[in-house]
Amino acid sequence: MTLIWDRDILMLLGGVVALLILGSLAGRILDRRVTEESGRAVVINLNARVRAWWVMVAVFVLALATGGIGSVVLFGLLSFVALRELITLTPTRRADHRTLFWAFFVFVPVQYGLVYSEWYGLFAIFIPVYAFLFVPVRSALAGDTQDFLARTAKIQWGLMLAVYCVSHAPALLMLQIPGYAGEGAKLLLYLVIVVQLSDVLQYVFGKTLGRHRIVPQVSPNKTWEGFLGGVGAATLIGAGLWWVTPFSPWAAVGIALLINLAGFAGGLCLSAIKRDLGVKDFGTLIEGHGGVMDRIDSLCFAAPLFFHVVRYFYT
Amino acid sequence: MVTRGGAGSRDALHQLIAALDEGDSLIIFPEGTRGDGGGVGELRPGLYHIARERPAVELVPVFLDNLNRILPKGEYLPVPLIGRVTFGGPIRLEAGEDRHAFLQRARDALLNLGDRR
Repeated sequence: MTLIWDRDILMLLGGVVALLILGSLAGRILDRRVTEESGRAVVINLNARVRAWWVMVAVFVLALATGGIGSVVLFGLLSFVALRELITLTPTRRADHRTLFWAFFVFVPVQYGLVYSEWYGLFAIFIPVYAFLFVPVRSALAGDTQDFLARTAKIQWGLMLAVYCVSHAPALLMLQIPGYAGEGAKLLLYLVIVVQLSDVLQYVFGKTLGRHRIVPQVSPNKTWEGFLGGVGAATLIGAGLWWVTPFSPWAAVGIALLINLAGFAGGLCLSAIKRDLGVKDFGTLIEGHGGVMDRIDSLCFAAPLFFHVVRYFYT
Repeated sequence: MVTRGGAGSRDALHQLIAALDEGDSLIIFPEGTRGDGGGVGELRPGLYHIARERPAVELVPVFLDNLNRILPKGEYLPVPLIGRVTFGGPIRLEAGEDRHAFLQRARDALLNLGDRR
């Protein structure tokens, strides 16, 4: 997994830094202008989010700069922390203790080891087949049948969402695309930029124009205005970035739309899980954003779809 | 190390009070041992004796959440879940309060902290 740093990557990163500067400036101006009580909270949260974005971008770029291993380790750690947040909030029982140990210390490292060793065949089925079947066996051997189905399902969900789905992002580096050798980092960057921008733009459109809620029982913050504006604008940006990908401009429109819709679905489903568990955020690790799972909820759904579409049509 | 039960427990109590008199703070696990994680266990009387001997000392209830899931009693491999520490307001032994009532009140203070989500 050697990666090439070319002009395209530097232009992408330049664009991201320009956006961050824009965000910081906008935050500073709003900080001076907005004085009423309700608006202050939003502005303070907005500035916290922008500050956290600087840190997240710096960490991500640093990971990319070390080539494949850095990205694999970074996403492995994200999976580990996200799984930790999910399992902390979902009630499991004493009999699941050993099962959980396997999940954290065997399944997470093995899955990312498979990404790094580019063993696609096992990578694709390790968690959906082997971990899926192992989890109920280990818990059954512990001899506690109370809530058995719910307990095992929660651990399986955690592994699928936080580990299997997320691991498809760095797995983009293993794809052998003709005429695009060693340029996988750009695909990873493209996925993360488009999906996260879609989140940010949905937030911006929702805060400024949002009136009609889509599913108020699940998330009061998701509005039709935010959805259409955010997904639409992020799809246009994704299409405009076709030159860093192996896609044609029109294919880029379709693929960007697909990952933005998937990202929205991810945010929606994870919101439903949070509602079910009675929490607002999955954690407190990222200032202004909540937990790691709150930040990568859209990526969970977008990464595997993006990976498979690219693998099917371009390799 | 504190020896549990028997004649040693009185010595242990004196050691604790001596430490308080020197101005040190103490961390006490008033359940005496780790429970099965099912809830807050009954509090051991040592807490009451300390409160009676040194009524001016503030007793701050601290609720440790999720520790039983991170490392249950009898397991030797921890699971990296997120623990949480919640501090409550200090309590003191009230005038005329007997051992049972005091320990009950201290336990309730812990339970209240655990309920806060």
